[in-house]
Amino acid sequence: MKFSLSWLKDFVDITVPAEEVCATLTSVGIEVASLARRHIPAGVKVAKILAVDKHPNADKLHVCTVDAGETAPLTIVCGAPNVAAGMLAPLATIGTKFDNGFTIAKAKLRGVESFGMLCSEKELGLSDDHSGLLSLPPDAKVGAELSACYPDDDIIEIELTPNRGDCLSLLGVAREVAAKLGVPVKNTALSPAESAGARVADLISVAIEAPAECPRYCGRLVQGVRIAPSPAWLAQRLSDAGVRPINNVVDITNYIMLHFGQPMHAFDYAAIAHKKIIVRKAGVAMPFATLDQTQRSLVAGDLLICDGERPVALAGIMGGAGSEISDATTDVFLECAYFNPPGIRTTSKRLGLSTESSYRFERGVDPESAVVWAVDTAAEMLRLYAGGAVVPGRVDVYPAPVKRPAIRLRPSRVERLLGVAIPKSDLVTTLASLQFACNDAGDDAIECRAPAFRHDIFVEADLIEEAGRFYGYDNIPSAEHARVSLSQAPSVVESRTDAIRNSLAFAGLSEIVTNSLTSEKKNRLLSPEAAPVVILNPLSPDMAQLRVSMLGSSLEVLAYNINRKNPDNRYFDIGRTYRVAAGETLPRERDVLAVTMSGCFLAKSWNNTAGVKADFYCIKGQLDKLCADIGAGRLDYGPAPQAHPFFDAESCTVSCAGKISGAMGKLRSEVCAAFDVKEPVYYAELDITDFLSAKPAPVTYAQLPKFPALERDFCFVLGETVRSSEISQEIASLSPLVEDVTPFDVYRGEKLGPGLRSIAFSVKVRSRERTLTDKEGEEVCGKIISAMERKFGATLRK
Amino acid sequence: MTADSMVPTAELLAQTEKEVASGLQSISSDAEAEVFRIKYLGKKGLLSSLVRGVKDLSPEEKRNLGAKVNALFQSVEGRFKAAPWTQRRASADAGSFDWTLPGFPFPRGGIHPLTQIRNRIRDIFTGMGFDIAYGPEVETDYYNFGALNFQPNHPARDMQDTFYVKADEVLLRTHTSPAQVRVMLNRKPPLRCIMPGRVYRNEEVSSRSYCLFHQVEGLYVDQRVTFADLKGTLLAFAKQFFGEQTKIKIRPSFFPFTEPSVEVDVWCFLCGGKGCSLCKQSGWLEILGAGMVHPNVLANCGIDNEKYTGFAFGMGIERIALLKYGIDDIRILFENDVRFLRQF
Repeated sequence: MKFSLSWLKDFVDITVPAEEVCATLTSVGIEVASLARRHIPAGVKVAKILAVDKHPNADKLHVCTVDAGETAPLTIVCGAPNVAAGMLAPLATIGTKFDNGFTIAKAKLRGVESFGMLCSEKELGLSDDHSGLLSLPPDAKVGAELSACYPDDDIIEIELTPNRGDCLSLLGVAREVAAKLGVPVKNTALSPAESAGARVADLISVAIEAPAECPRYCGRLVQGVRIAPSPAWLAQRLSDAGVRPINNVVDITNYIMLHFGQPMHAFDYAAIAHKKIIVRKAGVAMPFATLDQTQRSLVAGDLLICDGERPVALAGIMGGAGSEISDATTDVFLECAYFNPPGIRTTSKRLGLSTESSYRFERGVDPESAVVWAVDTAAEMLRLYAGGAVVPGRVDVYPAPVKRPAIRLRPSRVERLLGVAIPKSDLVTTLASLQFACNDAGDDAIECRAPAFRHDIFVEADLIEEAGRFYGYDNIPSAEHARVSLSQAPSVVESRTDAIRNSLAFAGLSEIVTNSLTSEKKNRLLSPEAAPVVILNPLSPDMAQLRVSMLGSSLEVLAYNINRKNPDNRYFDIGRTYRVAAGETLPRERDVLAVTMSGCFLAKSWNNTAGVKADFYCIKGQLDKLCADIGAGRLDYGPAPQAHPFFDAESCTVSCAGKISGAMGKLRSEVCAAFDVKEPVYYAELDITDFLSAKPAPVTYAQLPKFPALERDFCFVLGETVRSSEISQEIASLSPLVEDVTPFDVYRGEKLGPGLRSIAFSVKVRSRERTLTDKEGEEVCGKIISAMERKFGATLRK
Repeated sequence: MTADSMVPTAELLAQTEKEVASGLQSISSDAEAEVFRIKYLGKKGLLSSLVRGVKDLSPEEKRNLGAKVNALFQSVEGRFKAAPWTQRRASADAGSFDWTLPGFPFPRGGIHPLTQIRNRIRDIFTGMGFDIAYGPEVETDYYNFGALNFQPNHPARDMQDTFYVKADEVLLRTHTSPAQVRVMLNRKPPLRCIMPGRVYRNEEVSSRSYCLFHQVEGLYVDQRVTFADLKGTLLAFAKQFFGEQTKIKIRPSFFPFTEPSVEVDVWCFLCGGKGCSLCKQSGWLEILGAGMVHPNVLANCGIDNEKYTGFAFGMGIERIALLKYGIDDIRILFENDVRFLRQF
């Protein structure tokens, strides 16, 4: 909401500068979004346009002869479409210096000299209107400084939290400022000077058929109104508030809403059938045309304002087409009502139709005072500024006055919650200044009733907040000690996640943080069998589901970096994947580690010109190291599942002690291509959820060997489908003396023949009790060779 | 006498000693040193041959000259090894060795700036005795709103644009506060806990907002927790995170689940409160929202709201990252450009 400081001063005597007013607003919880000074510079004068001629060289420009109160008329070139002889308009004379530094000088425009600039409202900083010259009233004095008509002002823009609907008006803001400054709020309501003749009750009847939704309905009738532009001061206040002036009747209703916070609606009395107003709920679904010429689909229960025949307004939201004010309107029926917030919000949300009016009703307006002030003041303003005659009497249907419950406030509780003792008398002073009704209710109790305009006060804590914000949170001392809870163990999840991150980061991988929202298409590509979590109201099809795999995000990052000439990429991402869990309200969320490698793992360099390309064994070694680093134990590898959606044949499944499971290997090229990645990509995706929260296994120390080991190398030729791990396991099972079996060379070639490969192992043999003799070593070697031959048909390669 | 031994004599020794002394002095390069080494100390070198020749001396001469020959050899070898050119020899010629070539390109990884900030915040609060809890990102409407005292059909719900999975029932959490509810329901006070996590908002992606971000939520519920404790805790946090000089400022605000509710501003660490572009000339940075846990929230979680009070706070990790690193576009945090990631 925006308003001028001078308007606020209608309510409160403010002597401090605008900056201090803003600081006061902030201190009570009204956030100031901006403060702008409005200033018409000296030299801008009221000028009369004497003649308008076409510019000889430009179709859209005019050459005007202008009287600015100087001895001779001035020639001014002007492009405004509304320029006309006889019009009064502001002229920035030569030498005028605007706040932005722009100075008016004599200028040649398409060959014609211009001695100043005729100005629009926008050029003067009065509003955003740049459609034409500001047209000044005929009584303005030619040659006078315009600043006399538009004195300097400050425009303050505030942002309100949704609980403070009561501050959506000048009155509301003034109440807070006055309470903080310790000054009264002035009553600015006008009592209409009523005309003689029939009373309003004889001319219109109002019935409320839905008292729960509409507890109060006030109205006034003003006859003989002449629709015309508003007076300049009124139009200016609206412009300052960002509201476009339209005509006196519409402007007055808008003005009253901003002034008192009470939305109102003006009906053309002539259009009200049978001179009856009925407030009722729609019984059935029906179409309704609002005054913005839009057909709305209403449902049963929507609150309507009806005349004797049909609905004429969508209560509290927008009037209907057909009963609104037109240029032909003479008699105006003003509506000021209190509608209950939830009903207005329901209809407004459903229709997607939010108006200044519905916005205020949703947040709650004042059912007690402002509603009456508004309708009376509006009627009087119609008399003053639209030539209307106010029909005697006010319609006021208020069957059950709104009551505020008493809330007990204990000063001891204030101290308990805020940590500072505030004397009872101070509490009463603060609350009374905010118009709470306070009664002493014993030693440690004040009975408080919130004013009717406050819709955010329900419990004692709400009163304590009022006390706190006026006491000033900055005045509450900060505690210097805190008690520490001894009941909770340090988080295993955190230390394990740290360990994973550290291991991978130290190994040269970069952590990435990625979007967990993805498209239906990507989810289907990466996990066609998974049941994804679908967003009902996505921002875009690209973010219509939660991811079922981390791969999409990782490949997007990879493509992004490859496109930016970074060919060597190594990432890890710890995030969640989400799948619908059958029979459960909430989906299954899993903590997942994704590792991605592409290009070189070790970059090419001058003394290693090939670099080391990332491949299957690179990522495998990375995972082995990771599991060792984080104390997860050994990873077990198994064959890849058949026809995996994104891994190709060069892949395998992995698991670790039942706590980590997943798969790793080379990605299918068509999957990479779907993300515009052409290079080979190696990837692992591990579900680490169970590992993160599992109790850490105790570390036990194994005594270091005291005796030397014998090392022997073997090179076997055997069928290429025999896995290296089968050989290692077989060798290790042959003797308890075998300590370690490590493959160190693999060879395939014509010399060996088709379907064969040679694989060389280094075997370490050691006794923990004594130094082995050569003979004992030879025995083990013999066993190995014969077992390999027996089991795998392997021959020793010479 | 064999081919590669030479029988030492006193004259020969004296002459060799002289020769060696001047030889050692004239060495000025590795190449010359090597020539010297081969000539005198190598297997077939003069001194080595003399040493081997000792065995051909008569016993008397052996007594006389044997020790001298050995002493000469050791002295020359010692002087040769201690000489500066041999120490240089390991790193080749000073003129040709290029120490400016790059070192071995060990891969360098790193931890994402968002994680670094999250963990820094975590470490400060765990140091103060807070423990850690988590919650699901897909939540029920009740945990995200209802239990947190968002009244049905109240405009407060508009404060957080929500992604729904099932209308009015299941949603992507809009804040980490539902984790508070889970903690209060599952454990008994005293509770001192932080709850980091990912949250979602249905807002157009722009330089200032992303459809998801990360928060750290804090909660302390005990028998005598006051607003002064909240201030003390947040001030201690701000000093540890932003520096010892840091001050905080508290403004009234509104959250349905706290009463009173406040916004906490931290002294701008860039300009020290003087006013700069980072703090939009105000000297203060809006960092977190906080307040005393609303009695309705305590009651919803089965906690006696007369006996217990508590405070809660929440801060956005992205916002702090943007401020701390001077980043002007939140999206860069999720683009994961390696040139960006390497800077942290």
